[in-house]
Amino acid sequence: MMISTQLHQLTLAEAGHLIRTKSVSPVELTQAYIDRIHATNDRVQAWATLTADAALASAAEAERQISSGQYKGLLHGIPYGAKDIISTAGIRTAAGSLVNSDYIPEANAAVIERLESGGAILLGKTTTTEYAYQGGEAPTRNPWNLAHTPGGSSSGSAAAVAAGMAAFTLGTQTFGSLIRPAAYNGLTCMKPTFGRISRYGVFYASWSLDHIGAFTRTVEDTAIALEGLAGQDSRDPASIQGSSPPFTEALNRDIRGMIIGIPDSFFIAEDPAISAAVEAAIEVLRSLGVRIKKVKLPACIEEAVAAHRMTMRAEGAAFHMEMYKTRAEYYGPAMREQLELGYELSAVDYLHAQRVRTLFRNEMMHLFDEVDVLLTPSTPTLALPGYKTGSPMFNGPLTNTGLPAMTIPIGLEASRQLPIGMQLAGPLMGEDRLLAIGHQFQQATKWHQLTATLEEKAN
Amino acid sequence: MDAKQQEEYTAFITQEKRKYSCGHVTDEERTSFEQERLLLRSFHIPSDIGPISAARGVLS
Repeated sequence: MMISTQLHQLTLAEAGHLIRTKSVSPVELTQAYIDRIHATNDRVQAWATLTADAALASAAEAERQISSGQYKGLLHGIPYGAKDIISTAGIRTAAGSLVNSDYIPEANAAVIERLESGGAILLGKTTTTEYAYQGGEAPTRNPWNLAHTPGGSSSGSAAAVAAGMAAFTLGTQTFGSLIRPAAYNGLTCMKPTFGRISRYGVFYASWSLDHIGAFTRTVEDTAIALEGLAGQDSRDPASIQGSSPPFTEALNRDIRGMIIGIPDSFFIAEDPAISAAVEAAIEVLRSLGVRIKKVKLPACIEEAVAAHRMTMRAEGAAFHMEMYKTRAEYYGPAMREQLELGYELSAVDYLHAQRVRTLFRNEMMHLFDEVDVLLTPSTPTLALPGYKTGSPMFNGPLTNTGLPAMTIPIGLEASRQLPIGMQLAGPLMGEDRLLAIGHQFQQATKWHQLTATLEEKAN
Repeated sequence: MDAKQQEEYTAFITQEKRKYSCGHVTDEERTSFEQERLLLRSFHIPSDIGPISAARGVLS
């Protein structure tokens, strides 16, 4: 295992190893992240709320437990951040909105419960676009180039890990809000199979589309975080029944002979630097023994995108209906626009959209009869200059169908110093394939080891 | 946030709000919405295809 020199640069796995062997204490590690936040957050603006005192108290408790032999696992004593649409007991959860900006939940979301029981240390809440919609952007900056967006809606979660302000963070994806910001920030992140991680206690953007995931620096860290987060929860009606597999055991699975499918349409990057990086990544994968095959996407992909957007409008409008009756003027204009359109949709339109989604999902699942995983660029463009969070179009089809997807850094555009990501997607419950391919790719490359400079570069 | 960042962010927010000076839905988004609805309504789906469920649970 390679150990980085500064505490805030450790991977989750490295930090977990050092805590387990009592080479580093949870208090030291937590203090290092708090110091890093104080040194850099003014430039990056990744945090909506910082709970430093509570974090240090939790770290001291973790240290006491570990010293007395009550070690809980690799997340014990690891500092993390949570997107501000995830409920945290006693900590303001404003969801990037003025609608209920002083809301303090009485209970934790299921993911916070799970991390707390694993001994992880909550550092605070990270910025989000308003209620995780597109629009209502936070002032958060991309640590690789401060003139650019970190993406969204999980803007702060992605930027915080890229800037070394947390070992990992939680985010959500309803269209492309995990994979896109992770790619823009040079991170590794998985959107697992729909229902894999409980959404209980998280503000819904769309019941049938919302997923939770963790921003990390490596595939190994993603597997560790996933093991801590996944599991059945009767409070989330979409929760997958039964126990979760041991994701870390998939990392070293033999990938030789696996077939990677490259879609012949739709996922065409607009930036040539992205296309070149993907081609280079494919060559690395070939050298690892995988085979490449062109695949044809379902013919109804454009209709599926339309169905996705209609679903978000309708379900979002239904979720916010009570609040919107009395506090419409507090919503930001971009979100209000989508809610207004949602109220115009008929039940027939909504149901028709859900039937299109069924058809698209069935046809996407059939692709895995001929390949093990799909490979695409993670985004059509690099992170944009300014505040607009970029296009989620390459991530939508996997969110729409609930198929697992993961982004891995595969390059850095030279002039703007912006990261490039590769998206891998698998069949339902097929996270193990993505983890195995991703981990072995990272054993053969160094893109995931690069760190952001927190500077503004000319365009 | 330094003064330059604050100024740029404030200008961005102001510009975004200006898009909605004529109503809650911009002409561009209205057009996109109508086109998407038309695309969906004109798409033939076999009668045995039912709606996907929000609470489907992949194993149930």
